[in-house]
Amino acid sequence: MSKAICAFGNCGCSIINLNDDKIIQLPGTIFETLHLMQRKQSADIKEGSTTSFLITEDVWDFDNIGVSKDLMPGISEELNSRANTNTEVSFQHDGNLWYIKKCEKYLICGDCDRGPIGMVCMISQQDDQERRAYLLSLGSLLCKDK
Amino acid sequence: MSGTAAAGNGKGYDSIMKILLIGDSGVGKSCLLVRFVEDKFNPSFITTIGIDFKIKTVDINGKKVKLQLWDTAGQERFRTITTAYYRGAMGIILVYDVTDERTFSNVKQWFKTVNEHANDEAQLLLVGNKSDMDTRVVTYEQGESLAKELGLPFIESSAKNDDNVNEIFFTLAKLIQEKIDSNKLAGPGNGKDANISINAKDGGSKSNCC
Repeated sequence: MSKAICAFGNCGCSIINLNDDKIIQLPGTIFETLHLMQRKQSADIKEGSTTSFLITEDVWDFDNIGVSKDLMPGISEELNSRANTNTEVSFQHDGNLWYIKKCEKYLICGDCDRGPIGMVCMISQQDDQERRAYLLSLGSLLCKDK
Repeated sequence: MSGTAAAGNGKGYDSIMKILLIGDSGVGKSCLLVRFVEDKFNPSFITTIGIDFKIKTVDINGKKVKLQLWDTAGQERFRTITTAYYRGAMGIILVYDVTDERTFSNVKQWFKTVNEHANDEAQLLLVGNKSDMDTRVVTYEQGESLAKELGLPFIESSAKNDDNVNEIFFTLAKLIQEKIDSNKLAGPGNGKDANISINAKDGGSKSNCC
């Protein structure tokens, strides 16, 4: 099994064990929309490209992680306002189509505090009840084989 | 390794522990949790938002222990730390500032509050923070003496020194794990969260002076 580790400086903090079943694809533009940190400056995010995230509903899956307080209005406005116009960001997971309804908090490295390296979102299937999920941006981290 | 059932829980850890940081405003509780140094990787908007909690994984005698560390998020200013905040806490770190006499004298009040709200089996730890400052007014011996009086383990810390900060969490986790191993402390969610005060000598007194 491989691990996602912090990519900043010499940190290398172990963030979480990777699990292929929990990896989803989100639009590459999400980095910009949510001001997420990127491993490499990619001016090369093309229209229509995607980026990998690890999704989990259990915060105890993380080895080391920091969870921010609720985001102030404005930071994730673009994402949240999509919910009102039915153009939410969507992704396939467990054979179902999910929508990101709201971005609530940020994730940062549990050791060096750098980030954001992901977010805490409310997600739902069409017209279903919303659930809280932790979405970790793998493009913000390094992967290391154990 | 002792044979806990945890190895078979499929979760990849042996224990989880909720730990709270408690004390007056300005004693540096948040600094024990995060060290926001602004640089190009650390934009100011994250610093402004602040941190709810952190999860840290430590190795205690070969056991993988996950700690969830909570800051009071400024609620202490208004003494409005709710019972919900204490619920399920297995460890509580009482923090004062060695450069501020007042925060030291308030420790006893915090000790009393904690005993009123927290699980009576929660492990406490007294921490004198900012020990690197030359404006210290509370000596190590005074801290040690208070800890002894309250029956708590004691550490001095400097948030500037990461090893020292990790030592606090490690020490507390080790004490809690020892309690778990001797079956004195059950995990969260076992209905033992009732507000039982062990502070019999203070029985009935609710005066919150400060």
